[in-house]
Amino acid sequence: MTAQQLAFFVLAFVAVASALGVILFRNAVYSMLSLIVNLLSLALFFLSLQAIFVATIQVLIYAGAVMVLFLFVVTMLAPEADTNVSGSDRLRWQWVATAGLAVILAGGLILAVANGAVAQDAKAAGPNSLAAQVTKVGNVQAFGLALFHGFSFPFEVTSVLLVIAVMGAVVLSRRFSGRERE
Amino acid sequence: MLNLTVFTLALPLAGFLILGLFGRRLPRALIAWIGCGTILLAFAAAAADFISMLGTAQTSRVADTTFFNWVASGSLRIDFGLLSDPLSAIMLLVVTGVGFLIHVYSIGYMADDPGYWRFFSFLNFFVFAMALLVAADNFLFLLAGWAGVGLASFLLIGFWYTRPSAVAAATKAFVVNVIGDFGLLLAIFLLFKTFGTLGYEAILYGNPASGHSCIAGPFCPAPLAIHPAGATLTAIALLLFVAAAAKSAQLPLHVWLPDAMEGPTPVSALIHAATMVTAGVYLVARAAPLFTAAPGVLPIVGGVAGGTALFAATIACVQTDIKRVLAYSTMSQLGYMFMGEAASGFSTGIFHLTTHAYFKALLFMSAGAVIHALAGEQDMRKMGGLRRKLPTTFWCFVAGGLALAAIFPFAGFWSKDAILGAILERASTTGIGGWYVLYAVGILTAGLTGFYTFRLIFGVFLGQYRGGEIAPHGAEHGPPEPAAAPASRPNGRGREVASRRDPLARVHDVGAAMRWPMLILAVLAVIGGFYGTPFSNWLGDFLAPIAGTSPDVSGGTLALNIALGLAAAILGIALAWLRYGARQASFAPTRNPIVVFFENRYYVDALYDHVIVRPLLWAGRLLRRDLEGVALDGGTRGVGGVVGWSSGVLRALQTGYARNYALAIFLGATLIVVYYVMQR
Amino acid sequence: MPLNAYLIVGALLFTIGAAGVLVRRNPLVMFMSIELMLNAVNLSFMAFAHFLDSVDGWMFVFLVLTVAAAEVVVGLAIIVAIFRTRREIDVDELNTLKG
Repeated sequence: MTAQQLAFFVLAFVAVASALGVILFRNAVYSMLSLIVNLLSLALFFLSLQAIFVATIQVLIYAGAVMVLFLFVVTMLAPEADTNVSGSDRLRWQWVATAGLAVILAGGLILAVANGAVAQDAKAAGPNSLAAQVTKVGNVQAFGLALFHGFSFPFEVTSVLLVIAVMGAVVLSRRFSGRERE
Repeated sequence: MLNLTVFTLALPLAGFLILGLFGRRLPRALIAWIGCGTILLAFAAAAADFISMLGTAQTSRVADTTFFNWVASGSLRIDFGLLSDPLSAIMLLVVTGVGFLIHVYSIGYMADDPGYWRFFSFLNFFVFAMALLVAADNFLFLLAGWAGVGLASFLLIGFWYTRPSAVAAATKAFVVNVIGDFGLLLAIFLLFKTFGTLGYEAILYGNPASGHSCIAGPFCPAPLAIHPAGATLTAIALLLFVAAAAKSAQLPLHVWLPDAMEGPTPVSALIHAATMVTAGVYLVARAAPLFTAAPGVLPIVGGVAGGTALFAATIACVQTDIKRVLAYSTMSQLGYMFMGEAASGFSTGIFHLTTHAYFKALLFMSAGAVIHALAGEQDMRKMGGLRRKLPTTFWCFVAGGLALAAIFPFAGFWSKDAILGAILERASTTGIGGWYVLYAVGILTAGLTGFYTFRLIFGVFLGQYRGGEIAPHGAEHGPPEPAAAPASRPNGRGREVASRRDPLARVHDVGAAMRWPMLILAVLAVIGGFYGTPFSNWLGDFLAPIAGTSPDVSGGTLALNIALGLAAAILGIALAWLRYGARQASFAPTRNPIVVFFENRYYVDALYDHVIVRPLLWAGRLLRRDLEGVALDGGTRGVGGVVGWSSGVLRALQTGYARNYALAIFLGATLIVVYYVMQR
Repeated sequence: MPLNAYLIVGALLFTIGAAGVLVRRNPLVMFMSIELMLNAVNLSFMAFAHFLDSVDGWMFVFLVLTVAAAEVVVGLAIIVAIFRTRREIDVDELNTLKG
């Protein structure tokens, strides 16, 4: 086994373990921390896939900004640092159903991947030659070229989306005065 | 030869329409004038026809006027036409003549009734329908008139419609009549199928002009005669007899006639004694060639008629309601008429029809006078000793009773003797034992007739008054009609409180309007038989072209017949005198089982109720409950219920928990992935 | 490492995330599970971008990232708005759509 493969397996293990941590920890803060670990491991995955810029973005935006948001909300909603959910679960049977379905789904996906179906369908449409471009102009420039040339329209739409999101957040978190109580 | 029959129909029809539409607002006198006037004019038209007929040769006494074409469909061609021939002339005279007298009688009888206008309107309608029946020249319009008189009967029996018993009786009459109508309808179908046309002259007498064939018989010219299959003729004749039996109250369709006495007495007199019930006799006489040619039918007719005559006479002997006695008497006498026709003496049946019209109408009128005087009392047990108070009525009753009992020389004597003579002659010519049995039944019934007739007379008029208080005058006519003319005129003489000393103090004999018709009929009851005596049978000759010649009774048999008939009648009267006349009449209830059996009318009504009415009602209820309620309604409601149930089941999926919905999505996604994997 | 390895890891992460959405009642943890799912998809995209030599994978990841950020903002705002005034935070409390 090469170092690369070893690294891959370690990273995979960490990713899956932290994912399990996210869904299994009772304490919400611990879940959040697990998620951060997961995001970081994914960033490392991206690194191993020669996508430096995207890895950076992942760390900065996802693990950085988004998780900080989460942290703010968690602490805002549960000032006693006890964010456990009280009461008993009314839908206990959902655990069993979920477990079963999850096994089926995972098995199906892995099967799909393993017997070459996915790879068969995802034939490249032509020589896009990403790797060549990266060696020529570097990671960031390649990313920028694609974004502002081929994907400029989605880029603009995304900016609109962000504006809308901000506006929505502002409106939703407004405390209504007595006159407008819903 | 004149044929003014159209006026005989149109005038009563006009009277019906005028009185029906405007009668409520007209004054009583005008109603009476219109109601009776139309009938009088109709009688004049019938009389004119008759007189002109007398003036023509015997072989050509037929005038058939066609007015318009009613049905022209394929090979079926039916015209509305009115026939004037001897048979219809006699019938029209009886209908309009006796009808007119009864109309005049009603002026007095119904004077206190709030529905005065309605009564005359319906009576006029009846005369119209009956005239149509006898004057139609084809079977289809005979059926129209047949149904019309059935309707008139229904309307008039249920005249006092606020009484449940009257309504029930009217319904019963109508239902039983419809059975007869059905028989007539089937007969018409068969007639059309066999002969291709429905006119009398085509079927019965032949028509050289149009080439229609006729049933082989004495009046059918040889070249036109056909011989339809015997079975078809028998079927037609039997169906016609079913219709006649329903209309003329013969067994087993007789049940409606006693109940029909719920109607006012003039109705009983006109419809249920003199005219409507005789429609069956007319029909058989009209279709005489058919009956003669059909094998085996006449004996059946005779048997049924004889049975009815005896049956009705026995029941009449134990009835306590005076109108019921007369009703059963009518049934019995109708049986006589059919017996005469069965013995091929069709004209004897018609003869008895005419004399019966006189004396039975007279008897009903007299009974009506008694009822009117006693303000609605009809039970014989509460009468007695009325002779002093109602002398005119008494003598009229006696005249009618003697005619009914067939005592020489009253009208009934001659006609009943003609019938019995025809039967006896038939018996001796054919030698079949059945005719002798029928003759014996006739004699026995004659005896019973005398008995019950004079039981009635003695019980009502002789002896002591057995009744109690008498209701106020006009009480039997019931409360005033809604939104109608002013209520009954108060009787100036009477007071509410009856005199203690004599409950009959206020009882008075008939007024002028009622008296004159009764007297006229009384005279007819005495002398009305002289046109049909064995010595000079004018009526028989007159009707011969239509009804054939009756069996002629020769000397020795004639004497025997007369003797037996008289003896039986006198014996009956004597028995009645012994039991009800000589001492105080005793109408106490008896335990004698035979009498009880008669009193319950042989339990025929009970039988019909159990066998026919109850199963039908049960079936109807069953269908309504199960077929409609459970199957049909339940089915449709069940569909709705299933929808509701299934939606209730599906509703369980909507738990409200977002996690459940997410699970559903997850499930869907998993299935897609699995499917995708399976594809490879 | 071959493409399939990355895809399998991605599949596992996705399934775990989905299970998390279904079994956790804390809305915040549910949200985090959704983020997990998105990240798993991101991994798959990146793997494809690398192994198919196409920049489209990177673009999609970028867009997913951006949209996920926006979604987190709005989603958290909603959660805050709903649960601000309550004592317990339990998604099962919001069951007024029950039919």
